[in-house]
Amino acid sequence: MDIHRCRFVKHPAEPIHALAFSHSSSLKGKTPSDLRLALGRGNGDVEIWNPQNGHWVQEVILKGKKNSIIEQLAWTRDLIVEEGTDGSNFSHGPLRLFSSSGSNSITEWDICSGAPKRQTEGNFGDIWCFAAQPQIENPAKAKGLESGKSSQLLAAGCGNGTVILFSTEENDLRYLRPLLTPPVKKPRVVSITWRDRNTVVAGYEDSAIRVIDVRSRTVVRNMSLGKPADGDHTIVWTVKCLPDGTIISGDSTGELKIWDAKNFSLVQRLKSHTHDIIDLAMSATGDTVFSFGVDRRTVSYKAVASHTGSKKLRWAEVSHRRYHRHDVKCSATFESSDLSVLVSGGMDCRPVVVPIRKMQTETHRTLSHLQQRPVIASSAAARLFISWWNREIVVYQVRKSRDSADSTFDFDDSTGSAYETLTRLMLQGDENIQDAQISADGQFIAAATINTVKLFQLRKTQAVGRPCVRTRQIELPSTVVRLGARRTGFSPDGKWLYTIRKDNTVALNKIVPSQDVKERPTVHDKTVKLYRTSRNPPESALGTYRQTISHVAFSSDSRVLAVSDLSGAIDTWLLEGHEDLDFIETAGLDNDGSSDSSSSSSSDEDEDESPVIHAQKWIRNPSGSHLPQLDSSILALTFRPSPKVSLWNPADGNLGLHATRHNAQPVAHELPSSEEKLIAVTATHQLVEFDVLNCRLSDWSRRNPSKYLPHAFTRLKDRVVGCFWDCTDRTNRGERLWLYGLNWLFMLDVSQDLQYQATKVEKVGTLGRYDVLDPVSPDGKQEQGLGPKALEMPNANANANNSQTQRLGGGHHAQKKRKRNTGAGDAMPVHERGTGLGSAMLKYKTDLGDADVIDMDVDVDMDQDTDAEVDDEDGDDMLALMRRGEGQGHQNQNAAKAASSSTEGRQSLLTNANANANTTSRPLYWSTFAYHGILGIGVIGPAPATPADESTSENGEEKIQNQNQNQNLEVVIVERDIYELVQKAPYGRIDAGQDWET
Amino acid sequence: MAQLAKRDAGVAFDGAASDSPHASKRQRKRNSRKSADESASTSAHATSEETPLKNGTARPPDVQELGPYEVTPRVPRHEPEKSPKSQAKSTRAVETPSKEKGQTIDMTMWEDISTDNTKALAVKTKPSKVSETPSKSKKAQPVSSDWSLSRGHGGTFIEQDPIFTSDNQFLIIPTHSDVKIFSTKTSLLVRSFQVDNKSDITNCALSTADPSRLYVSNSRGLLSMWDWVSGVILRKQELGRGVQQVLPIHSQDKKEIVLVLQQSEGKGTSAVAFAVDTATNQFNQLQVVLQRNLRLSSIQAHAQGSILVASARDRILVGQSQLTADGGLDLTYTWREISFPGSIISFDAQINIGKSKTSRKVPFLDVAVGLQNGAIIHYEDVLFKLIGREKKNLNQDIVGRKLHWHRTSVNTLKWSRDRNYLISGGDETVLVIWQLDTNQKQFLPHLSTSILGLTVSASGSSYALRLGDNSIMVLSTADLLPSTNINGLALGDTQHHRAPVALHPTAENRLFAAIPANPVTKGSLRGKSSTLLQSYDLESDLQIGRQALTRNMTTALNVAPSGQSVQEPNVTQIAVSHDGKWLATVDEWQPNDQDLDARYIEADASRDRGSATETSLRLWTVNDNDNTWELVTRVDEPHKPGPHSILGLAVSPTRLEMATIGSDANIRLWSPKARHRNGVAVRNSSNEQLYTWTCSRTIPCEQDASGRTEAATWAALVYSDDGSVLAGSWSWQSDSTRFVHLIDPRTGQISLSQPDLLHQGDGKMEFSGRYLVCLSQMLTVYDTLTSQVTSTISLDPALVSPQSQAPSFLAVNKLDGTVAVSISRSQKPRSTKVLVLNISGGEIKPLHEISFPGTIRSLLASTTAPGFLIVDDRNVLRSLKPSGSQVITSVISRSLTTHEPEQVTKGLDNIFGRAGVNTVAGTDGVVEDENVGGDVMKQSLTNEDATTSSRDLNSVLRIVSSTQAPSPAELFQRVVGVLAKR
Repeated sequence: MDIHRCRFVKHPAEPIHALAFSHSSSLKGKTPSDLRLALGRGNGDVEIWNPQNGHWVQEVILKGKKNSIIEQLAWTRDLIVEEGTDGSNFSHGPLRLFSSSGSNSITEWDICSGAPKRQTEGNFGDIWCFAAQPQIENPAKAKGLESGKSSQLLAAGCGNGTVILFSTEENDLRYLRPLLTPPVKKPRVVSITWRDRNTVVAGYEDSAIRVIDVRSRTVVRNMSLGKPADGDHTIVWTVKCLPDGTIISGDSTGELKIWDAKNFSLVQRLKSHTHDIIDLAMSATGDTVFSFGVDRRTVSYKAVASHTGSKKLRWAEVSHRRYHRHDVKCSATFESSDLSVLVSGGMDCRPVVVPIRKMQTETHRTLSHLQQRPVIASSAAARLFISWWNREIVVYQVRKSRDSADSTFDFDDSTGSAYETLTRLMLQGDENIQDAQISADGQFIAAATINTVKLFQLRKTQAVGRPCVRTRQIELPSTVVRLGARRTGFSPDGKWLYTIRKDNTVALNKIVPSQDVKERPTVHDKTVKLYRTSRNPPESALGTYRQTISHVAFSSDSRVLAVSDLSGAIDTWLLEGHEDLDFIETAGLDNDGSSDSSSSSSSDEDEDESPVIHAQKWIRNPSGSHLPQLDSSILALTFRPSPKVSLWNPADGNLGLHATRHNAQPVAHELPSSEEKLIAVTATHQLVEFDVLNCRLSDWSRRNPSKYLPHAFTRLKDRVVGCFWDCTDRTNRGERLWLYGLNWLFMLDVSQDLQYQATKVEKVGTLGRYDVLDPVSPDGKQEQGLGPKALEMPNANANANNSQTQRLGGGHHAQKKRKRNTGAGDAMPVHERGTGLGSAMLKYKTDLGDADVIDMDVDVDMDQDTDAEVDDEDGDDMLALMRRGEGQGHQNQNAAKAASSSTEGRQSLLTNANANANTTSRPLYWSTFAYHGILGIGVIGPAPATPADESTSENGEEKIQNQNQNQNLEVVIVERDIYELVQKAPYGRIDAGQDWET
Repeated sequence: MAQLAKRDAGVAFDGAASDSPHASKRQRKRNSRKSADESASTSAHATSEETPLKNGTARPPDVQELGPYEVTPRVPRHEPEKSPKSQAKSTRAVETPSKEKGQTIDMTMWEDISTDNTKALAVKTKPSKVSETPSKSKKAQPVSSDWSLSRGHGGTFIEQDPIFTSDNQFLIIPTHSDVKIFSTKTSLLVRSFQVDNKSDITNCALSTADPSRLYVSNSRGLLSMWDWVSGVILRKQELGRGVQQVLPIHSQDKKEIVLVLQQSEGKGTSAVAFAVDTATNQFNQLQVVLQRNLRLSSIQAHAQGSILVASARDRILVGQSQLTADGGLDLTYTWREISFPGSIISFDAQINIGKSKTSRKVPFLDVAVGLQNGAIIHYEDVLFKLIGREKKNLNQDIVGRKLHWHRTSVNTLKWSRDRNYLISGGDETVLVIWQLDTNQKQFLPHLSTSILGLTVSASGSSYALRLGDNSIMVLSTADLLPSTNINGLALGDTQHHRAPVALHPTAENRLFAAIPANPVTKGSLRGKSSTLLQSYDLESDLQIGRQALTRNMTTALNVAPSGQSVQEPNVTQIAVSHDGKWLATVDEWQPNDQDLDARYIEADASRDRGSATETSLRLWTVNDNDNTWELVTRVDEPHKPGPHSILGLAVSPTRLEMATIGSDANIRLWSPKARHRNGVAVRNSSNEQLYTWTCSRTIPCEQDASGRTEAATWAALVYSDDGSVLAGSWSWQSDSTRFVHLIDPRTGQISLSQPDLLHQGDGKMEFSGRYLVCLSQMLTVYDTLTSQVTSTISLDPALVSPQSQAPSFLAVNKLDGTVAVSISRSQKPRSTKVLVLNISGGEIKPLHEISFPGTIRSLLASTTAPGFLIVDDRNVLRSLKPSGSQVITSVISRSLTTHEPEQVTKGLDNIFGRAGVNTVAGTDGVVEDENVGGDVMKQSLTNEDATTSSRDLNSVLRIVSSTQAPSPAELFQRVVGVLAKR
């Protein structure tokens, strides 16, 4: 595989201005399945992240508009009260997301459709901050609740010092009334929070914090912070309330101030920042506080009881660290029994996840600044690739590598750059581009925003001796344009343009190439609309959000279409019949009319009514059943390239058919006959292959359950972003599926069986700074029994030191299963625990004769979790191995043998169980972390040998089928590292040469 | 004749003398046997020990029958044996050398060891006890009886935090050999006592029961108990194994429990508890408290010993026991051991005694730990939480608060007494005070050297800092202003080189030493380049001044962005001109090797790389106003550039002239030239002519260097006594005959080149009158008038180079022409022999020989008196003086004294210093002897132009502190000596 490493794509990264979790923390239960994190960026985008299991999947991006910034985000959820016979029943309504964007308005987003829903203005200047009223915590005890909905108010602080209220009642967003008229000097309200449902605390820029009672609309207390050492006023950048009512504030002096809950007096001030504190966060119990500042520090504080036994709490800094490379702007926390995270974001565009509960024993994790989907698309035939951001699409061409045989060596060219920027397309309108794709032959570019879809034709020309392209727009049917799309793209043969609309309808349009090159190609005026089968999703606060289509895949002959959504469901459609360009569409009129007319809306549900275009028709997969729904959202979806052409396309089209009375224009109903294999990778990194036409797992997938995936893949933390195929040399290399994340690249040969993972490497202990790995023998016992033995012989001086090291340094890991972390990074190695003690304690008298080892990391909750997770996997193992046909011989034996054994239908493989087979056979997998910040990978070569045998390009998932074995796959890996993005050093003061990460 | 002399000297050197290491070993054995006896039967004599033996009369002859019990309880008197004169007298008076007294002498030797270090605070004894003084002399060598080695002054303070006495009046600071007690008011030494001259002091601790008691532990395993107020040893106990730390933990009913930390071979560390009866001073071993295969670095006790906290490499051990109902201490501890992410450099624990509403038994124990990487981790109530973990109580989360300001290891960490602050110090030379409640930090920057230790006084009103330049500073807590400064000699670790020290030629007891900024470190972080000049008064053991000689990075940023430390220039040679008005220094700077890598390729010779070395010769003149040196001339690259381009520096004893000898086989002479500008002499503000130094002559010695490409590695250069001859010699790596050139410095002519005087390698030469004494692997005396080698002695090959890496030294005292030679063994056991010779008529006549453990840094001839000064590798200064001759010679030589050392005279002790001005207060016995002198001085002082004798008297009577006070007899002799001169 030839790799072009590209760093010239100037894809901008946008700073993070707002973060909000959809649910408030509750330590009792597990993480709600509909927990999401909303993240607002500087270009108006709102990203919805799913932190489930610490995977941090970026599910959806709600695209913003030109010149808009998401300044603040908040979720609300109505309380629905139903009067029943046995009192009131309470339930929660759907989650609603609000944002403010630096103007005088508040926007509500429709997370299902991905568009702003409504916007309301208040006339008191720009809204600097707003906060949602807390939910009624214990509705059964609350008095005076009426039947119906009880919504949360939004309190907003305005530029002229007014605090105003918005109502979210009745699924609406209205300006309600001003809560507090401005003080005399009209200082800006820069921070606001609700202490309880009736009290608002607002921080002003005139060194004051005001506590406002909502019901009486009066200021309960005006707390002054005093004049700072320099400057006139202390700006209260952030104010928060602890669960016990204590008010904490962070201001421009860099001091954390703690105010008493009852008499609002200043209890304590802690100076840990050298510059302003911008945001504060706290744990669910309120015993840990975090502050974030312009000095990039994240400081954590804990409350400690004063020693003398009094209940008075004093706060003390626990540690500080610079997780970010630039100013920190915002933060959010969430805690449940299995998740305990603090997320912070700022000008360096990268969210940082810090564990709260295991702050001292687990590492933080920096998520990438890039989108978790490739934002480039490529055409192998034309050696082009495009990238897009905001409202702009750029087309690039990459020069062939010089040593390739067919390129003539040109001295003039050798001095030039290895790439050309061919053209830029700017889309009219304010909306950011949702998706853009280039067709496989490089002829067309489709771009979609939430309001429009555009199709461009590219024509290569030469200008001043340099290659360039000219673009022209192709008219699309007005319905397609008007409704906009969230996804768009082309089929591999370039004949179909698909668009996924806001309501998750799949629309297909046929592109008719023009006879003459000079003329514009046209788009068939009929639109195929495919509706997904309705499933009955479990009741969710997110509504239909989880049905959002995230991925589209075409089979390599463009006759099978698969779409997948965030819930893990997959729908497939087939194209039946043979293409006949001369097909006369007499019968089509009815269909066309029915699809456009509103009167026949009932027929819309009938999928058989999709129009016949060129004697072809898209039908729902006729196998009669659905593909099984996967456990989590699907992150990559691709068809395995088929070596055979699935359906021989007769040159004479539909000539053999006879017209009948009912069917004046006969259409063939032949279906693609080949085995279409669809591979899906989910958010939990399960890799599943379906036999689409039979609606079942494929043989390969049945033999190779996902837990056989190599450790090199399962240990990856960053989720998969895209994939492409390398099938250029099936005999020598097999069928290589390349998967990539934002910083890794992984190859898996899916023509072989995976290795049976008998040898699991477990950490046994530490030797100095190194972890000692000990292979576990197949019968599950370790080679050396550590714990008991070490205890028996502590007096043997020769071994005493060694066993001490193991016991104190982490030897107990061997006795336990690996714990799952609390949502951020892995457990720290013992020697790196920033402030923590070791993991074990020795207790003895006088000497080690009676030593006890006490585990310091005991966590009851976590142990239960671990037990629950380890389920009956042994049965699956047996099944999968039996399917390999050699089960009994190899179950308990060495892994190498199991790996080398290959099964049915793979005659090309060496099938002897000899251990030598491993060395001669093809590598099964390979991985690298050599690339950082992968924006996307595009296949730009080799060009398909025959036009009939075209490659697929969809969402960066590339499918190359090429019989020519001499040609290497040629890809561009587009990197966009953070170092190129954060160029302006903040203040020129922090990034000094001897800066430390503290 | 020559053969005879040779034999004599051979006897002296080859270990036949009874004072050789073998003999001393034998003696040591004997002594230890005796002390074992002693410990076995202490109880019998317990009561009698309390009554100090009345001094005075000579010891009864049957002393060895009494055994050593007599020895220990003896009241330490003022022991005048330090002063040579009285000793000489006493020798004559008491000793009638006889064979049958051999045993007795052995006994007295032993007593010296145990008692000669005790001194009274003020001299109250009558001078009549002269006769009592035992002799230190060796019968086998009657010639040596005239010389004596003084007790050591100075010394490096051991790695222990200073101890405040309970009333904050005194600081107890041990060096390796002595326990020194300083007054916090005056910063002056009040008392010092030597514990054992064979082993090192490892630790001191004040008793908790009686604040006047001090426990001292020794590396050899000797645990002794002292009354530091009177300086009396109360008890000593041989424990067998080396004691690392002694810690009184609990006291009750005249019984004190002392914990002793012992390192044992292969078994790690054990902590053993001893009971000490405060009435009878008996030690009783109680119990082993901890036996652990770890190297414990230190241990602390809290809550009357019920909580012990110890640290090992990366572990903290917390031991907990209970106090019994009657207040006693149960010695069965439950230890809890926890590991830390990094090696622990310092820690401190405190017990927070609050009025707990809950009746919980576990005390609130806070522990703060300073790590190697600069982080301080602070745990609150850690013991309770650890116990909670044992009981699976998960509510108590163990939170470590991380205080990270230090970049390198936190050398010291202490709680303030009110427990609201942590005080830490490290190599950043900044004292950091952490206010825990508000998270504010307070800094005291620019302490000029790293902070190694810290003690908070009992009242919390002052901090005592032990600093990296072998000094102690006491700061007041309120304003952070220093109230006490104690500076020791701070020579750095200069291996293979002669330490850059020089004695002032005219002022008495003034030593100049080029010192690094932080010679004492915990771990070696910085290159120990000598950058500062310390002038040190030998007699009063005080630093007089300190100034920079080169640029230095003490308080500036001293780490390059690559993490490397920035190199400082290193002063390799210093010399003072004969009149004491000029100082010459040679410094050398080499950049880091990595920095040069870019400039050279692999094939470049190391010699080319060496040309990046910057060498400069600096000449300084004294500024009389503030007693500092002012730079007059700087000569860059005085010889051919390269590493070690200047190998030697010599000053003419008669003229203002200096000579440098370079690795390029050249000798350059430097002389001052009056500065002129446009023909007008340049004068300074006080209308003095200004000078600049130029190279007046270059004497090439090409015949030596002919055909050589490499530079010479060793060279020796010396002026003859009258300055008329300059002797120089080079040695190259490649083997060849080594010549000694005799050069006339006035003409630059090589008058004679003599081979075979010096061997290859490091050689030393000195003129003693007409004889040139050459020391290399053998000692050769060469008569320059007859051009004959008069005598040659081959030296013990184990003690000279190349076998011994330690330098050998040669010094000639110009006043009486005695020669001192020191040779030492660098391998263990390290030992040094110093031999004093007299060369008369070309023969070598050994006068005195001493040997002691350890190596020496420098051997200097006294400039104002006969005798020599020895600086050993622990910065202990000892003078080797002939008895009886000092007064006269010093008077003669002191005629040139022009400026007095500006000494601080404070406190009680300036009685002596003012004696000349005021009428002497008749308080002491001294007065009786001194009356005469006082009168004389009064008379002489009426004269406005101070005569030499009055000045001499002044200097005789000017005694800085009581510890420096000579015995009345000696003082009398001095005064008489001055008067006799008149």
